[in-house]
Amino acid sequence: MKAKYTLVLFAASVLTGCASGPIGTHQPNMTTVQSLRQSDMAPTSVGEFVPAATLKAGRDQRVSVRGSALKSPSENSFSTYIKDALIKDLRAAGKYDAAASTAISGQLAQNELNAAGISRADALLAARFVVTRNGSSIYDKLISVAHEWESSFIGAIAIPEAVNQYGQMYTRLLEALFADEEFKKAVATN
Amino acid sequence: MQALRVCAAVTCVALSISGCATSYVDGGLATANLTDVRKPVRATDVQLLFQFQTKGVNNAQATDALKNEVGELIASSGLFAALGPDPALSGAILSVTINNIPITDQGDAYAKGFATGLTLGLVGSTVTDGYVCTMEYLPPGATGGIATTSRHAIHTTIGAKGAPPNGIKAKNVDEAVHTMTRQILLDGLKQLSADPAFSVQEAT
Repeated sequence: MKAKYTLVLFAASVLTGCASGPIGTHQPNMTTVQSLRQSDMAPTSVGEFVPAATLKAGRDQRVSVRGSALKSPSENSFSTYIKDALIKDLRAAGKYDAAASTAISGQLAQNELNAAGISRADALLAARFVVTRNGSSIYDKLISVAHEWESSFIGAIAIPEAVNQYGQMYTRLLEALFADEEFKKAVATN
Repeated sequence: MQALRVCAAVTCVALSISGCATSYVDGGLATANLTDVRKPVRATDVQLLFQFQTKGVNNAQATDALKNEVGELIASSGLFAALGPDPALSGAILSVTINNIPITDQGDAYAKGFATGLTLGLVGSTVTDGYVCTMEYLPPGATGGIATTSRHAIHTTIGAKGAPPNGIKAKNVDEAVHTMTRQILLDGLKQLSADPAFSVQEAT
C-alpha cells in the first residue's frame, strides 16, 4: 500500500509541478510610472497595511491553487505586499517621500484565488485605502478588482498561469487606485 | 495491483514529458554581440524598469530571477552612464519587457509530450517558445520615446527527435533561457543605439 501511495504522490508532483512558495516581488511598469510622473500627485508616505477584520482567516498569509500554497514575500503577509508594491510604484515615479505629511495606509479586505476549474479561473482582490494629511483622513475607499482568465485541466499549465495572474492582481489593484478620481484629488499638490 | 500499474504508467508518462527534453536556442540571433552596440560619446543615466511576462502577464518569479542579469548586461553595454530602479537625475527611463509567447499551443505541447511518453520516447516531438523583447526608451526631457522590438525562440525536443533546424543545443533549460535573454537584449540594445532619435554618436 505504501508503494502505491508513494507512486501516486510522485506522479502527481511530477505532473503538476510544485508551486508552493512566495510569489515574485512587485515590479513597477512603464505605464504606471509615466502616468504618476505626469500627474500632479504630491509626494506621499506609506503607512501600515493590515488585514481587515472581515478578511477570511488565513488569507493574509496564503491563497491556494490546486493544493499548492502561494505566500507573500513581504513578511509572509499579503497586506504588507500591497504596502511594498505601493512604495515601489511611488518611488519609481519619484512620488515617494517617507517624511511627507500625506500618507496612504490600508487594509486588505478580500483575497480570493479560484483556479480549480478545468477551463476558467478567477481572482478577486479588495483593499480599503485611507489617505491622511497631517493626521486627518481625506480619502477612505474600498478598491476592488476582479479578473477571470482561461485555465486548463492540466495542472502544469493551470498553476503557473494562476501564479502569474494572481501576482498581476496587485498591479491591477494599484492601477485602479491611481486611476480613481477621488484619490487623485486627495493626493494632488495643493 | 492494477492501481500500481496505473500509477507506474502515469509516472512513466510524466517522466517522459519532463525528463527527456533537450533545449535548443534558435540561431537567429546567435551572432548578437556587445560590439554591435554603438556607444554614445556622452552617456546619460537612466531608470531601468524590467518585466518578464508570460503571455502578456507579468511573471514575477522569472522577473526576479533575471533582473540582475538584465541590469548587468545593459550596464556593460556602455549605452548609459548609470542605471537603477529609482528615477534617474536625467529623467530618462528604459523599460525592458521580455514576453514569452508559446508558439506551439500549450495544450498541444502537452498532448505531444503525452504521446511521446506513451511510446516511451520513440515518437519524438518539438515545442517552440517564442520571446518578444520590447525596449521603450524615454530620453531626458522628452515626452515621446523610442521603441524597439526583438524576437527570439527556444525549441524543446522530447523523446527521439532530431535537432530543429537552426537550433543551437543548450546544456539545459536554464542555459537556454540565459542565452536567449542575453542575445535578445543585445539585439534590442543594438537597435536602440542605431536609432537616430537616440542621438548617439559613435565613440572615437
